Amino acid sequence: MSKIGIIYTGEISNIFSLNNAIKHLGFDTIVIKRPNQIKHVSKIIIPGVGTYPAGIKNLKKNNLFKLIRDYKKNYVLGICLGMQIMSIRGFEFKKTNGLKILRGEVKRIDKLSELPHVGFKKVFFNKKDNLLKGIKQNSEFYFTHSFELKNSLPKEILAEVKYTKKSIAAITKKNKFYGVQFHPEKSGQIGLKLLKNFLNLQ
Amino acid sequence: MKKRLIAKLEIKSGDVVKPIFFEGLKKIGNPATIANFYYKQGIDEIILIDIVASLYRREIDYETIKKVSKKIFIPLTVGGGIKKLDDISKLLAIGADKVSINTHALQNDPSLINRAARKFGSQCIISNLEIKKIENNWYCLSDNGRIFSNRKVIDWIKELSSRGVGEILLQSVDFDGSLNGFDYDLFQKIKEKINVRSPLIFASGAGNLKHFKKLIKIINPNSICVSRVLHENLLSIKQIKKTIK
Repeated sequence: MSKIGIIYTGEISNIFSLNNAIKHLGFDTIVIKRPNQIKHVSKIIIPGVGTYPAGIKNLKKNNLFKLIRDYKKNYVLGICLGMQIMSIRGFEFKKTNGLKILRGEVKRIDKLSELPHVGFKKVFFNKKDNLLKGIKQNSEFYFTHSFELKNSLPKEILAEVKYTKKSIAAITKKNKFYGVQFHPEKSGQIGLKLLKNFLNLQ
Repeated sequence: MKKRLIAKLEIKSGDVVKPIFFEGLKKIGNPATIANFYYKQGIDEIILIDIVASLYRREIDYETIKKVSKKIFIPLTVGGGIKKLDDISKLLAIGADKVSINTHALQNDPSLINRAARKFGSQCIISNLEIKKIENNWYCLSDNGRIFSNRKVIDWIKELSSRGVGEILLQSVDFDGSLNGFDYDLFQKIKEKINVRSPLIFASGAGNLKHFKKLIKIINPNSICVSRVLHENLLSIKQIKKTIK
């Protein structure tokens, strides 16, 4: 079976947990630090801990930025920061250009009383998708972030966390690029189910 | 909004232990086994604190942490003896999702919080406070309840928040492990005087369901942390979650 590529976004990322979850689901992984490793993988996952500028910097350092941006061969899943850097730009600490896959910008969450936005939150699905097979509407996933995707294109937002009069983008999709603001590898059984759905996408 | 129930595992030399009022040590068992059990029972998160790392100036126990993180698919916070950014990188690399800092920031270098938040993101950095009442004020302690600082808890919480801390774990040295209920006075004071956005996690002292009901009624917290009541099987995770809903 071919392997799942986990993009190395620098020492800031939590690859261990993600790697652990993927192996638990029965798949093999490669940590991608160089462009020539991409041809060996059947899917790509961009993990996410850290900051927007640091994430982008590390991708460019390893010559992976353009490669991911232009990747059409297989499905890609961005997790937390991995989803955020798919946007046009981010404003964490300083203005940084993103992969420009998704419409929208990443800015500090200002609409909620708690910051970071952390804990298990109900996710409302706007439409059906193979990523969500077998997962009930309003299932809870684990979020931990201070920045969110704003000014996005509604059709690119697959799911949201809804609050009174406001919402936080939770799942994005553009062509073969998926993004999840939450951590499926940390969301218990339901997170593992979503991850499994992704890994099984044809 | 759903409330989080978090289990705290205090680790000494590879075992889960349970101090009472942050002293004495009752050996509870194997960290990975216990964490996995709580995970299967539906706990929302696990906090692992190495309670002798700062005190004995020991290296962080990476082996134990790796074993724990391999078996659970929920957020894991690791604390104990964190002094530099490299300590944090190493912990994230072995499965910690968040790290918890107290002693070094409180007693030596508060800028560690700023630097850590800047490098790893605030959501990754929490602070585990050890709070004790002395005369009419609450103060913060370090080194697992052993060393006094003259920082008043209200001031320190405000400072931590302005330095970029993600969440704050409120442990009461006077109530922790007592099974007699939470430090409601402390929590009320904090709720009254503090208006920060950093989520607060309320811990220490839970012994029966009435304690949780009272906590919900008085404080209505979003996050609650427990240890002894679970370690000694006095309540199940299911029971507690049902009560705090």
